[in-house]
Amino acid sequence: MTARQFVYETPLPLTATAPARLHTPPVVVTWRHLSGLVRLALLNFALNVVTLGMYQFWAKAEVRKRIWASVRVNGEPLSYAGSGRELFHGFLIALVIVAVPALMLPLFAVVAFGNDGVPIAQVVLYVAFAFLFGFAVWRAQRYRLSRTSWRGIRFGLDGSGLGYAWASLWTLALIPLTLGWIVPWRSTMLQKRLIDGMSLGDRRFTFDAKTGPLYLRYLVMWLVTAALLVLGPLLATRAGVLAATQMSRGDAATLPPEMVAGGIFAGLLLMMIYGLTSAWYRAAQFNHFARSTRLGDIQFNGRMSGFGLFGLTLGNWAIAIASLGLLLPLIQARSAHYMISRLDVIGGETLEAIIQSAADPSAAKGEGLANAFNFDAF
Amino acid sequence: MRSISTPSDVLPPDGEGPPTPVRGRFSDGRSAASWVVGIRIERGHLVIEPDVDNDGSPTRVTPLAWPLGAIECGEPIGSKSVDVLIHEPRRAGATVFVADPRFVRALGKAAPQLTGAVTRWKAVQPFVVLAACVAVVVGALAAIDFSPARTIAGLIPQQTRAFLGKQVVRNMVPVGSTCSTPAGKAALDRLVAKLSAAAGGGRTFEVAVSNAKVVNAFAAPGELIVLMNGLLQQAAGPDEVAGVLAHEMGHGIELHPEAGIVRTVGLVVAAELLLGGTGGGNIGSIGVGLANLSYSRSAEREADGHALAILKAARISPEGLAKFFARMERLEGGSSPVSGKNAEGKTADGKTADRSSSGGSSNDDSGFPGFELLRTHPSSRDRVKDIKAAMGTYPAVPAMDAADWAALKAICGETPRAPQPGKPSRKDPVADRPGRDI
Repeated sequence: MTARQFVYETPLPLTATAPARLHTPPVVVTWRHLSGLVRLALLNFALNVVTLGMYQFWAKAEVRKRIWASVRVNGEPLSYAGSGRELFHGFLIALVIVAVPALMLPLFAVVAFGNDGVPIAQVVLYVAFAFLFGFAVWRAQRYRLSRTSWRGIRFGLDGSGLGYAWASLWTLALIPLTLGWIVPWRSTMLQKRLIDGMSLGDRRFTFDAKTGPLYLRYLVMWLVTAALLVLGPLLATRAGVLAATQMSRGDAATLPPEMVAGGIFAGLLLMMIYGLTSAWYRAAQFNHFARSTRLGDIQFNGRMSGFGLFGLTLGNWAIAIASLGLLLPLIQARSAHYMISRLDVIGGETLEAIIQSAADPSAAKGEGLANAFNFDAF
Repeated sequence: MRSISTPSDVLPPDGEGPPTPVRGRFSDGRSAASWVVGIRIERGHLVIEPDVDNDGSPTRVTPLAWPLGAIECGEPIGSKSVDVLIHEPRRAGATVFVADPRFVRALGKAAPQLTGAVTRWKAVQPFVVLAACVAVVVGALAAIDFSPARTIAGLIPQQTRAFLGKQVVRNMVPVGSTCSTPAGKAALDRLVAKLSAAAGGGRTFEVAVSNAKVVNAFAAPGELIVLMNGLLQQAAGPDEVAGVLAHEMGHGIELHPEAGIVRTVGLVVAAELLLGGTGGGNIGSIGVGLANLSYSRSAEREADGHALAILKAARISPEGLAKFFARMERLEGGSSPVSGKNAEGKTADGKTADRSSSGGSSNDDSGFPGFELLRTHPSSRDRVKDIKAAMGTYPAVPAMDAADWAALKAICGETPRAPQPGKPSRKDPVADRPGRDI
């Protein structure tokens, strides 16, 4: 524990009139160690089975409360005010508005257009889902922010969810047309729409990113991905040819183990290279976005590294596979911990002057849409 | 700030809270500023007192009292909690943060509704009751043999059923492998017409023959039946084919194929709902697939009942059906695993023990035909007994004459062989029979 952490994690005889500390920063964000998550995850699974899956909403809400409470600003936790009941209602709404029409549409298309109706229905569904996905991202963010508070001051998200969804959709269509080159610009544009609408109390966040700095790293990642996309199938066909000649040569109906092992090793190596490059880019993106975000006089800085993010991702995959997805809360907590530990806060002398916003906290509905897409913050 | 009394009237703590004063940080919810306060549990309330000022004099603000039954916590109190964030009743905005483990434990004891165990139980309780009711209802329905899938299947309109059936047949029978030599088709149509008339209810069944080596027949939705060539070749006489067709018609009359589809869709949706939340969706899909492999025994008994009635109305002896099932059970029960290259797969004892290793379509090119029939049509002594009991109770004529039977056997004369699933199709145009004598 560093001196800085010690100072802010125990209650201080500090009142609003005390002089500001001169040698420690006014705002510190730390992570409180979260224990007992594995036990909680298993308990949630058992309760899910007993209630035929209905408990999942309350399970999600409790996990979120634990994770939110682990984020400490000046030693005091964020608070998550959402409930399982809100998630459940959102789920029901999404079921009626999204799932049932989605199931009915192919049937109607077939009845109306015969067998030709099927591809039409598929295209319509695909476009609709792409739009809804963007909308769901916005709604989920707004819901979570409205339910998050620090020292009683609520966060919020302003703006138009439909506008965000539309922007997400038309730029998504451009990705294949530009061979992927639009991706950094798109990420930055969507992030700006989100952050510019965010607020803590009466103070708004601002985002002033230029995409330029990201493109250098993206160039590297693009080249690596293109190389892998060419190399991968080449290797696969070479392996297939080798295997075919091997099998036609002898009466052995199986491939020699060295060949299989070599093939698997090569495949894994390619995946590792891609994973590392992708993590390197994503870390740079996080750092860049953090540096471009401001909250009044508070600035942020990101210190993620490609290796660190890659290690985190590998670990998460290992946990997900080993536990068949049951230990998802653990994965979420790990990701949150890493993100918080790599986020710096600079400035913030006027933090305590933020006043509560007038927005009604119950305005934002639950995130049923995001649930329908099986989507979460991390 | 609301107050209940002046400081001098506050009663001494009566042992609910820890003896030493505990400090916390208080925010009034109107701004992000915070003050140090003293906090204690007293008489079912949380009492918050402003702390002394920096210069040592008490401030002039009066204490707050929040009823323990109305406060909320930022996260549920657990056995390992070391701090707690308390929200004002009705979440009006004020919060107190206390980083004292003993206080947290005391609070958990004084207000158990704030602990994780109690909150979880409160959330789970209505659903456990609901799940118990659902289990009771399902159990009762199963006991009286009520099948909601069957009822829903009955509501599907005829056109949709026919459409579904055509889709199923299209999936199961590759295009171009339907057998229909004119003479064979005519013979088959005559038999099917006779059986359809005997089935009654104005139904007309349609039978398609697929040039596949497997010994099987199945009923598709919408009064469609598919017969595999393998079964035709294995049958020793027209009565056996008529018996199998009548059995499949029984399935069609009872809407078993439609009910099966309804059940599958329902199970998939249910599995998604139950297990989707915990990431076990894949396990659910596998389970659904496994659950739908075969008809239940009661379904088979129903089909048998109809089959016997149809055969009786058409004046065809049920002996053919009994013989066919008996022979199939002997053969499939003793057949060797799929990899065997020799064609003589049957063992003398005819045990059904390794039924799981046999059956299914054969991967072997040199041709042990797959005896799928019994895998999807579980047999039993009772069924054969019931069929045999109906024999001889009415005068019977052969299902078709010798010329028609020969034509039917050769119905796949010029049709290319339908490929087995997973096997490349052979170019051999001549339909070679397995050449086995039963």
